[in-house]
Amino acid sequence: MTCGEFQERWDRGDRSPEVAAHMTSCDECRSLLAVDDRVRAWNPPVPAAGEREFLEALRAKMDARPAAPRLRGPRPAAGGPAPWLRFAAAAVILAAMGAAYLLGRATRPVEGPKTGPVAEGGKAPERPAPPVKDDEPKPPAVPPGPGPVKPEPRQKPEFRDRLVAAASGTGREAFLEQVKGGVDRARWIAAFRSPDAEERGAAVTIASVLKDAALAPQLAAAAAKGDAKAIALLGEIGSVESVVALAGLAGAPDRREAVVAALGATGLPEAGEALAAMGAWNAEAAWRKLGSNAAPALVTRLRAGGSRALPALKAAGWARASGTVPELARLLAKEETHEAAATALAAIGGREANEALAAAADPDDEAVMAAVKTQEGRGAVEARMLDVRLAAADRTRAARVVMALGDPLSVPALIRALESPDLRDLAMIALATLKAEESVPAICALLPQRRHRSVAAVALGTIGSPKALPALTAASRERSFYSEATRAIARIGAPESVPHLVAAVGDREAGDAAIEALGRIKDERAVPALIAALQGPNAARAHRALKDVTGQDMPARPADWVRWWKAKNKGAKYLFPFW
Amino acid sequence: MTSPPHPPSDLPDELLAGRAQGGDRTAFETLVLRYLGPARAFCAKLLRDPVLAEDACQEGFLKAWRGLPGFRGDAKFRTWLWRILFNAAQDLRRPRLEAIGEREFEAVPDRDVAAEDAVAREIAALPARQREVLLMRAELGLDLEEIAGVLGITYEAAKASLSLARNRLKERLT
Repeated sequence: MTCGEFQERWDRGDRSPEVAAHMTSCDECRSLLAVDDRVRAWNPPVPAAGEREFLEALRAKMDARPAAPRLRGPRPAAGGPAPWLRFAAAAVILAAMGAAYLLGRATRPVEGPKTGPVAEGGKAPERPAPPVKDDEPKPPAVPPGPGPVKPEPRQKPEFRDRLVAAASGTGREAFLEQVKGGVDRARWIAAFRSPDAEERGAAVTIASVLKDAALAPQLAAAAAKGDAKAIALLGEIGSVESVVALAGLAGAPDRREAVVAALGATGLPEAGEALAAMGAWNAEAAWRKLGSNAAPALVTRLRAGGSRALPALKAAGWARASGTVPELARLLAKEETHEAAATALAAIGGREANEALAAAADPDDEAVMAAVKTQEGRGAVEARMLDVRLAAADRTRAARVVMALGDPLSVPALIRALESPDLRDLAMIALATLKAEESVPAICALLPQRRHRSVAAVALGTIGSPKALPALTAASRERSFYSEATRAIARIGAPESVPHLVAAVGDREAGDAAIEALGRIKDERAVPALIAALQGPNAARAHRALKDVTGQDMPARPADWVRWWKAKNKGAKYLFPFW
Repeated sequence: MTSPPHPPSDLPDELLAGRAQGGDRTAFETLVLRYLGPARAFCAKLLRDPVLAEDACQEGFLKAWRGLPGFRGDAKFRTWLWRILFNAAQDLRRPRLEAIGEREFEAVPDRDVAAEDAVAREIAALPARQREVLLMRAELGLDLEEIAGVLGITYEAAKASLSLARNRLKERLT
């Protein structure tokens, strides 16, 4: 791999073993990429406000502008009467009282005994108390007695009154019997389309008692005229016909929320299709009600691409969406749905989803790796799968997957993998990522092998166990391996390595790492060497380390430090063995 | 009044964005908290002024909130967000760039030339595009494709700018 190829792959996020190996072995590339570290290490003054203050200021701005993503009023609470119900009831009562008053004025009878509560159900007092409970088809309506001639009530108002009364409870049973028997059914059906809101509402109320799926078109007609209860009732009826009717109502923005809720209430797979067609991905309550019935629609949408269906899939309950996992596993293989499927599978969890993810997991694949990393309970599955795979053909791939997953449960399998020459480097990097101390002896045993020692040194340094120091110190005696071994020793940063690190301060390759390690260890034995390094190429680093070791805040002038060190160690014979 | 609890912070960006699109402000705030640290560091290094950096973050996140309905999920959420934040920073930066640079370095004449000041000076001396690409790569950890997407340039241009910036800094800082 050339340096150019390496840099491009590195900057594309490639962290494959080949890239890691080049990074380890190429000084030129390492020093070039060290520029990024310098940029990151630069700490300009940052805003002083904390996160809370920032959020408060942001909230104030968000509130100040009418810019919410969706202008939607608060949903009514699930329980308790809806406001419209109170208005409707009040309207019914007022209308009934008004009718009673007008009829009473027109007929002025009023000597006859009242046979029932006058206002209840809006009945005119001159009528027999329960006119429909009797079997007589047409009770005599005109009472004998003096007074002006009572006008014959027209047919339509009479039906309307009975409908309204039945809706409010009076004579409801009789009315329902009539409607079921076909009497007045046509007029009741027509009432759903009435321009009179009260009559329309009464028709819907009667429908709410019957809950007949065949009423869906009528309810849709009432809903189209603005009757919100008709929409809710369509959801309660929960038939395919009501879903079709609701889908037809989805166009109007003011009805959208009610339609979405009603579609959820149907609990039907067809409602999932309708919600998906509406793009109501964030209607959590509706999707939750659909549960596993939402799966077909959501899987279809996932297949169509994009991750927009994910909130819905989440709300519908990942795990309950039976049949989703195989479909998502299939979608995982498609580029356009890959990321969404990975996220969904990770959230579904469980053995089936885990295995689907593990089968597709590739350390170069950010989507899958991010998904798997956030998943709980994946470890056992992964460890088992590694063992299976190590015995199979795709051993390298298995090691790479485990390496990227960073699962502690796979450590024993990785230590066994050190025995296979083709897996050694990968396994060492994986063990280093896991900081697996128990693997240190096995990795130390690889230090004498020229082919693997560079990676072994990096791995031991990353694991950071002082147990590796004797082996690393011994390996550093070979001049060509001195810098790499010293870097690893520096990375471990143990106090017992101070003499080795002090000796390495002037090393061209490993001096920077040694100085930084000495700064971390804070052992005063390092002071003379660090003062000497103030005049070298790592002066700034040595200055920082000196300040860390001594706690003194002095400029980076060697003379000042020498003066201070001599004053501190008055009487000492050899203060600066390196000069 | 206590605000509702934020959703779990380990939810993927796209899920939180979806919830925020539905009006869930806490989901959006979770995203804000997730990206606030890097955003502040990036803006502070790009604008070299903490006050301007804070303004850019506020304006950027506000624009993101307002623009959420337009987020269709075609790109990664973070790429979309960084583009907005970067544009917000650019809007604040354009008129005052030179003055800010001079003011900052004049303000610290008596300090030792410590290593981080040298880095700041050399970054400030880079051409704008190179500086932006380098900061996005080093500070935000964006890969080349994401950088190209955020800046609206080609992949090759991003790659070339990054290479030039690194080489120049390496040369000047060693």
